[in-house]
Amino acid sequence: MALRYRFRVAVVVAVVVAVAWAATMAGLPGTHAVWTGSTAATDTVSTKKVFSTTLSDNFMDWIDASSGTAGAVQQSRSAYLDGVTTNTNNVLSPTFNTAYYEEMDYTGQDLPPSVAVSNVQLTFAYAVPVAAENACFYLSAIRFSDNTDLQDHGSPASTLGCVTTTTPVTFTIPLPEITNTDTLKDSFGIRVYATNSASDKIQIDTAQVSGSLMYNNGTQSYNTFTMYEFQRQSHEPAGNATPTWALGRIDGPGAVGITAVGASAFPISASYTNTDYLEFDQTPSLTFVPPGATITSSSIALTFYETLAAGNVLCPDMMLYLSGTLTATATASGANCSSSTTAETTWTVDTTAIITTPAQADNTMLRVSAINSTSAAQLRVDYVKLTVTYSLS
Amino acid sequence: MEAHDAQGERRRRRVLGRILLTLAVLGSAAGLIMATTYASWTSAVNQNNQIASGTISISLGATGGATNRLNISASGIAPGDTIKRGVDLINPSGGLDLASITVTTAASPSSTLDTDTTNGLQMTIDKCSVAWTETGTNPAFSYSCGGVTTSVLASVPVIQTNAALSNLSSVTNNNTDHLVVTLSLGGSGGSLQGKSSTVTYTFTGTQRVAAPH
Repeated sequence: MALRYRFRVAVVVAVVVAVAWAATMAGLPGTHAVWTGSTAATDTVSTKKVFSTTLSDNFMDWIDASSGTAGAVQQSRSAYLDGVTTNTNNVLSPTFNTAYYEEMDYTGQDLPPSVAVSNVQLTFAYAVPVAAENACFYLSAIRFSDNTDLQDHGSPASTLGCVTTTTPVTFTIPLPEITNTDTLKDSFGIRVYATNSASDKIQIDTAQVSGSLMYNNGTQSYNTFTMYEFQRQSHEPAGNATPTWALGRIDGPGAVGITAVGASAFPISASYTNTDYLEFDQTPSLTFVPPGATITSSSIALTFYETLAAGNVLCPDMMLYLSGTLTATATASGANCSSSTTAETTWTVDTTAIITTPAQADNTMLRVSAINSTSAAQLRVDYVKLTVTYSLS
Repeated sequence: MEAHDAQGERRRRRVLGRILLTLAVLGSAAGLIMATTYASWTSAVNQNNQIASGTISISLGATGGATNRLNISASGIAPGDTIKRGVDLINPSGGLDLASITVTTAASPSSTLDTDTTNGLQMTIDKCSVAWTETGTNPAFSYSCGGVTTSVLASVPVIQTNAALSNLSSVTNNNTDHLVVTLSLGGSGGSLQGKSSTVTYTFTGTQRVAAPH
């Protein structure tokens, strides 16, 4: 009995030891600590602030020198903070009504796509026509293409400010909901809801949207921008209207007011009189091509038509000034001339070899003269734009 | 009746005793296993021989030198650009042989460059059988291989966790792999411009399968 017992014990011990040895040799999971060793390195990868992108800046200001004598600069009265104001179309209600508003529409065409922005704000300045009238406002940031309300600022019960003076008062309203240029380039608008206690108009001095263009994950600024309205949609108790600035967008042919037209006709001639011209200027202090950018191509396009019936051919001549210096000229011919009062001609001149630096792109001025074939005719200019392709490291 | 009870009691004690003995032996065996585990990898000395644990000490080439450009940053990257950085992966003499080497990457700060796995940075790693010939001016390095080029890691998004590296000689000690890490930006979306990511590459070697010594 004792012998059998010892034998059984010996067998059990042998089996268990054998299993343990086998497990050890096989390296079964869980039986070994697994050692690892590591080594590391770190670097930073940064992309260009702006990839190669093509943007256009339309010239908003102009001067009529068609007679040979330069007139005053003509600017949208609601563009700049300069004390030059424009009235609303009609009188406003003394109480707020969501159906009544002044909507400023922007295009943001001179902004690069998908760039982070910061410190976006609306600078809104206005006055009342008669002292002691009390005009108040609040606003909404919108996408006007589909009437999407992006963000309300103020309310009828909590206005952003009131004005009782005939001298414009400036309000700066932060728009923190705007974080990317894509929003500004996508039918961005500001809808101002305004009242006047005397059921009178208000006088708008400016409604600019400005901010900073950012890089390095939106932490650093490489440029600033300012947008001006290209049209205003007025919804007032007496009716609706859409005042536009002549050079704000391509919207001709049409009545005077949506194109820039000189007072004097250009002559029938075989040669140009370069002292007779229409001058087109960029907005002041423009930096739509940021300092340090590399320009790879550029062009200037003039969209225009003539004011006589068919039969006449009006051919323009461009005088391109960079930083105030006449740098290049170009003369239209053939299809780049206009022989229609009902269809516009767009004449594009390649300036790649001429405009090569950001400073030049941001300080371009164009004077346009013209000659006619059969009769003196005026030059109507609907749109002037400088298109630049650039990148920024 | 009493005789039957006494016999049954002895039988129960015998069975109980066997059970206890078996458990004791199993416990001892388990202890033996654990002891074996630790004895294999802990420096120890006994009377007759010395058992020293191996070390896993993979390393990269000298930081900043031609054998380790991984710490050199790149800026002004545009779609279509590639960033190439040579780096030696070293398993020194006396090191352990390895079952595998993996790479783990992490970004801090992070941006769409590393979070956009489709349009953001893509990573490949290639190996040359001899040292790469480096040309170009820092940081725009280019590399050519005078020997045989093999793929160590096919194109993947830059952020990886324990991505297995293939065809490495440095899994065996006393070997060096001459690698080039390539980052490429394929996407052209504007959401990638003006972005910055700082990427840390961690190469990890895992010990070989246990073997008798």
